[in-house]
Amino acid sequence: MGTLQRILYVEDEPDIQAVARLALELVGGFTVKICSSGEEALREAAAFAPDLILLDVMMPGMDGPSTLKALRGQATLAEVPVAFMTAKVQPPEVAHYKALGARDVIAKPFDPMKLADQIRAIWNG
Amino acid sequence: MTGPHAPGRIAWLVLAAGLLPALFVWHTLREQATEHARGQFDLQAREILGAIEQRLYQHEQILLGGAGLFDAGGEVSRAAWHAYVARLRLKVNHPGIQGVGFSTLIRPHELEAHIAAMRAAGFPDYTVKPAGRRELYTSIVYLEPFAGRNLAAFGYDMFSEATRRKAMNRAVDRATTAITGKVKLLQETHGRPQAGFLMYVPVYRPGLPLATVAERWRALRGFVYSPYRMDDLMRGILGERNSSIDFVIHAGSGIETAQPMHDSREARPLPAGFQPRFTSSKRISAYGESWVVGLASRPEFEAQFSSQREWLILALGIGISLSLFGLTASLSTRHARARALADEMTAQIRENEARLSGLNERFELAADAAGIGVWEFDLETGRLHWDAQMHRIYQMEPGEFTGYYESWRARLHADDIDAIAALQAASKRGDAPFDTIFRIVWKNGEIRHIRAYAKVLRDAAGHPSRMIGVNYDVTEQQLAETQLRESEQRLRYMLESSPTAARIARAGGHEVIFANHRYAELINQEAPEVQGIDPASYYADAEDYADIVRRIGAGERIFDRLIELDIPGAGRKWTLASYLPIEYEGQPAVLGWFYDITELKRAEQAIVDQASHTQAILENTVDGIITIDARGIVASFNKAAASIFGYAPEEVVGRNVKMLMPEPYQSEHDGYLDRYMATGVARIIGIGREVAGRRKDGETFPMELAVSAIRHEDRPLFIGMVRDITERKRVERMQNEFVSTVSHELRTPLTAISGALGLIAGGALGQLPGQARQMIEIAHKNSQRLTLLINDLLDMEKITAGKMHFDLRAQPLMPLVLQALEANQAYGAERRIGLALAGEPLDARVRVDAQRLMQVLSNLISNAIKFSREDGVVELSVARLGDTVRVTVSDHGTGIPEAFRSRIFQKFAQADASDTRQKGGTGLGLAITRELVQRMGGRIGFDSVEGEGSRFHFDLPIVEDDAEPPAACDDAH
Repeated sequence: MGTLQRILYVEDEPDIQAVARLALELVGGFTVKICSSGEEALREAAAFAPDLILLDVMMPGMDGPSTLKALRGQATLAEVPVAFMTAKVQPPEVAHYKALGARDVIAKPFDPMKLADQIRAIWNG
Repeated sequence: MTGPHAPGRIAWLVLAAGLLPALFVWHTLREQATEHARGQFDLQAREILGAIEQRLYQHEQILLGGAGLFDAGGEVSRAAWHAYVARLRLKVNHPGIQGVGFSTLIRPHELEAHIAAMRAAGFPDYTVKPAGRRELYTSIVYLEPFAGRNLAAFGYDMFSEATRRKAMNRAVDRATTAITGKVKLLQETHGRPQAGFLMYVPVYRPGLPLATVAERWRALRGFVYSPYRMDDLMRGILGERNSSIDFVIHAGSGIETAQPMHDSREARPLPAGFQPRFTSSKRISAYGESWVVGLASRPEFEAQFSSQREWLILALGIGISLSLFGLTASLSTRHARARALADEMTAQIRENEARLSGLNERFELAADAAGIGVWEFDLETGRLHWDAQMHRIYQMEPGEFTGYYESWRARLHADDIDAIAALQAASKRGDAPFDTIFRIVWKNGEIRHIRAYAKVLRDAAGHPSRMIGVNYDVTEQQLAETQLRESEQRLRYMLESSPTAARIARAGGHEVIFANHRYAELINQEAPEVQGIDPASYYADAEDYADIVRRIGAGERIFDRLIELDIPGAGRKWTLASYLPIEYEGQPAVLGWFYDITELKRAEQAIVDQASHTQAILENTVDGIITIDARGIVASFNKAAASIFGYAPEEVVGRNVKMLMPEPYQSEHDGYLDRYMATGVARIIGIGREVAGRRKDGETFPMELAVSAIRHEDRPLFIGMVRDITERKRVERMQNEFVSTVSHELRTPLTAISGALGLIAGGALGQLPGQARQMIEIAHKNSQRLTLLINDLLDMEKITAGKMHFDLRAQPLMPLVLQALEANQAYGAERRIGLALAGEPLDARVRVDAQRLMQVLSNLISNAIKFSREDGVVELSVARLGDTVRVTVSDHGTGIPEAFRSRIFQKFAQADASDTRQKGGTGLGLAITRELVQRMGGRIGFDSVEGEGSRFHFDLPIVEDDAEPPAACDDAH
């Protein structure tokens, strides 16, 4: 496994996009692409070729789980690790997301100063 | 002997010998019967006279009572007079009395003023009758009852009429009660006129001397009086008694001349040509008048005393004597030819005599048939001759009886010897008939009662020479009479001691002849006054009584009939009455029993009232009320319950209450009840909780149910109060959903805010100037608190909505405790608070959700840190407590104020509102902690000394082995 560098973040909320971009680029030093919906991610993910994908669960239109399913349908993205970001982090929910194929779940609201470390831990785990 | 064809002297002798005893016996019996009848006649005559005298005496008492009213009250108003007379209940108690009145005395100079006053008092047509000038007037001003015939007497001056005046004068002159001679009453306005008389009692003005005639006339104020219609009075006195004696009353002594005052034969005419066997004439002197009462027996009286027996004996005697005579006569004719042959004749005579004695035996047989023994006693020789029946009566063999007086006397009962001797002596002197009953003693010791009757025969000089008499055994009759007397006595004792009211009334039902004291109580009378009253007057419904009398008259017996009585002075009473026709003192009578159920009736009414009151409350209450029995069968179902469940009461009552429950409760309900009945362990009873109900349309709904168990008529009964809480639940759910939605919606902006602030505060965007950094840190800290608050709100909502997941696993407790200690070290250090494990670690396993337990421990530890003083210590300890393990978190901080302790586990409860800001925290921590502990099967508690610190602890059951599979619990039911 190579180094974690390119992260695709799918999130509909522009303010959270901005915070996360700073936390990941500035604090974490990653290359970040942000898509505002599942549909946009499906169009652009393959071209970006991410090392890891972060998916918000609750989104208008396609939500996180359906986006994950659709992304898995693209050959180049089938093996890319995915983590959900959600407020719903009760154990059965976490188990459910993992069963869908997510590597882990990051609780919202996240700590921007620690987000990069959390992601690295997932990548390494 | 007179000729060949004439009967011989012997035949005549035989005839005489046969007829004489027969006639004698007949005569004896007949005289005896006549004397008995005479005795009865005299007795009844005395009763009639006694009743008349008694009644006149009672009436005098009434008038004296009225006079007393004037003496006591001075003026007596018309109303008072009316009340007095009404109380007497004349019609019932004194039938025959026409009225009770007051005639006032008026002197000529007062006349005009008197008339004017009366007219002014409401009688515009009033005047004193008859008109005309007189020296003294009287006027009937009060006469009760003031109606009917009596109105004719109003204003009448009785002093104007000679017969009345004579009695009035006598009353004052002799200071006594006086009655008049025969008069025609003014009340004879219609109908057949009856003879009448009046009774007067003078009334004087109080306080004046009354010693002399002149003084009395000066003080005279008037007369209390009563008019009587003679026939009505006699009917009243004698009542319905069907006397078999007629009586005629004449005033004064002029029986032959004047019309009688009363003649009972008018009401009951005699058959034509009837001549009474018994008559007598008596005089009654009463109140200055004397009445002559002529009494005569009626045919029905005489019929009672005619007896067949004496005629039977006469007929038998004559018959036997005649046949004997015929036989003897023919014999003597046949042997007349041999008159010369004296020897032969003598022999013949002897033979005849022998035959005669045989025939005499036949006569004796006839007397035997009547059970009568005949004896003859020669007073000179002392010889006593008995016939065969006498021997049988005395149970003495002919050999035993010596034929002398002493032999008979030896059989007499010792107690009767002297009386018999005295009677014999009196009979010999001619002072008394020998007619008696005495006792004899048989050989075997048995005592018999003998009726004896005898005649004393005298010689030409009038000296007693012989006694001839008869004896017969009356033991059985005596015994029967004694038994009757005793049984009546027993009946009276029994009635008297009975706790139930009882009385005996004469057949026909209008006169009480015996009553016990309970009956007197029942009709609110003194016991001695009950005798003679007419019970009919107490029946609230006269028809009721008439029906009872009719049915008893027909020989029916009546049991437990509900009778409503109307008792003067006591009001309505209810009794269960039974009536039996009986014989009492030889007369047909009715025994009545009265069981007073007035109190029961009233209680019953009170219960009915109470029940309808209760029913009204039940029907109008908004909560459903359902009662069931021990088997779950619905006994009642009120209106509110009907509207909650959609069933009409009649669809549910009598069926099992399970129909109102959804599954699985429906199937399990019998089990709950059985278990409760068997063990007393209640699931709902006495607790009250939220359960699910099922409506008629199948809809399931939440309801609040409180059940209490009571005992009704010694059987368990359950009362369920049901409240439909669908609406409340819906509102609660909406509130919770609202909180949940709002919290979720808050999180998105909060994620952005707290993220942005975190980046700045974390220095990712470079260093800020001092004050700006401080402000950003404040903003960052508060955004984090907001996050915590929202998380707690969501947790709380999940717990209350039952959506929180618990992953319960049996695991060692100690590692979790240490982990919590470790996790909170940093926070403690920040506050300069030390965290330490006190005591020894404990090897115990508990079944918990590790993450939730961490939450519990963290809440308690962070609370302890929060409320500790700087440089303080927070200690954790773990200890075994029976089959539970106790985890205690202690601090030495400010402690919990007394007033706050009861609310400490409530949501948003903090001792001081300012704490929220000062100490941080959401106000939900302990509420969530308690919920979590309880969901994991534990209990939480605390103790605290204000100013010294607090100790929070929770206890969890220890799990002994880990073989059990992990159990997830979603709380989803």
